[in-house]
Amino acid sequence: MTFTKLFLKEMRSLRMNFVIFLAIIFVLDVFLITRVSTWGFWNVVLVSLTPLLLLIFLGMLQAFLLVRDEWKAGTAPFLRSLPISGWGIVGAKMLAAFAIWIVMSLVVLALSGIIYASAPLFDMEWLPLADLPWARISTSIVIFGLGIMAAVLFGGIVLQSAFLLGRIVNRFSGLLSVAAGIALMFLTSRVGDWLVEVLSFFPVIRFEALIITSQGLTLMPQELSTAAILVLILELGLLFWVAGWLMEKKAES
Amino acid sequence: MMISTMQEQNQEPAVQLNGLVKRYGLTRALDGVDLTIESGKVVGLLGQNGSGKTTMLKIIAGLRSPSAGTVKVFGMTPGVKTKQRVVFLPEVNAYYEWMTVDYLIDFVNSFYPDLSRERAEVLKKFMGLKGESKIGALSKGQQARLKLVVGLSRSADLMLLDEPLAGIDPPSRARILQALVGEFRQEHQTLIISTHEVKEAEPIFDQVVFLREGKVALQGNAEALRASTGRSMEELFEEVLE
Repeated sequence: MTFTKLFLKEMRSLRMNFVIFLAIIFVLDVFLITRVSTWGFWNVVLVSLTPLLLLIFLGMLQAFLLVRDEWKAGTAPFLRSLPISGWGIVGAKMLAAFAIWIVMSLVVLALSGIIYASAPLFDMEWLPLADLPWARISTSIVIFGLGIMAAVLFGGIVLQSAFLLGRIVNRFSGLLSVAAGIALMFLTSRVGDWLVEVLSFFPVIRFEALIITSQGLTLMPQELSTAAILVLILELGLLFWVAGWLMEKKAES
Repeated sequence: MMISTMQEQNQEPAVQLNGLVKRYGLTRALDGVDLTIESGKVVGLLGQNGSGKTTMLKIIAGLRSPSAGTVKVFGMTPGVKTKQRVVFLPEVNAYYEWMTVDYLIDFVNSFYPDLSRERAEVLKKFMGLKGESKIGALSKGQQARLKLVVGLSRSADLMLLDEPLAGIDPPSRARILQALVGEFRQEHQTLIISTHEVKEAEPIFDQVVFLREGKVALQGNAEALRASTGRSMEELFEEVLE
């Protein structure tokens, strides 16, 4: 109940960002449609999908901003005086940022889909998507999707932890946050690589993925170590614990 | 049964500080504070700017951690459990500007079952606030009143009020203070009020604590201090803290 209330509060805080983003995407797509004759239809479809890349960073940034804004607006003392754990606070913010990221990504995909669907209007033929070997590439699609989700969560929690680390001091907190952010990224990547190597006896997932080569789209065999997945989950959990602990015990507001 | 449980709980001092130190770099905001505040008292926390009043309240509220020493709130280290029994009203506006007054009350209510909607309605009327007003559109004085509405709507065991009169127009202060300890305060509640408005707040204090440079300069029963020194709190404030 309290977590839901907090989550809804965070969603409400992100409402304006969401509306602005929707407006930008809508204007961008309308602009792109006017460029079909000069840029070419498939280039327009491709460009309409580029916000997805930007959104990955925006998703991480939103998680960070939700925490930072509490200090900036002076609402942190009120929030932190509520009888909810630091993990609850950080979790609600992370979940809200993640949910908004998902919705924004779906909006971008839907609008690009509409542009794609309008191909006959521009005397273009739809791609033979039904001919793709969906059964063989489904694993790679799932892994790719989950990987991006994990990246957004990971980046968000690193930025949140770094900001909160800066809040444990009263002076040079910004500087400490930046240093902590760099240190956390360095540490997680180094320790992660080392752990994956240590756990290299873990089984490997084999799958096929469509890769763009000089011959066009080609099915290529790929491998993913389950140790890497385990380490990622471990690091995510650890960072979440650190962020919650800082929020509850150490950050000053 | 419930009443006796509450009484048992309240036999524990509301706040107990032992050798409390808080350092900000080389500065000691609190420097070895020993203090016990019994339940059910109205305590005035008096001191000049930078004397450590806000830091002390924030540590009790669990918003800052001490550098040394111990803090107990109803026998517990400040945390989620103590926060259920504490109201902390900071000096500056601490609420979300996009919320309306009613939304805020509803939001707070979902965290604290001890908030009474009826009392909130009465308080809103008393403070002259409208439920549909956006917090961002309220004046500084109205925001200060809103804090009191939120705080007093609850029957929390401990209320920490940091400069509750800041921003409120002088003619309304006495009326609000009276309401704070008379009409709306419940008997079991402990109030710790930090303020510069010593003259106006003096009549409501049972106990006073004077802080100077992070140390307790003087403390005791307000009535006894007045009787033994023959001075008002305001005069004592000037004398002790000069």
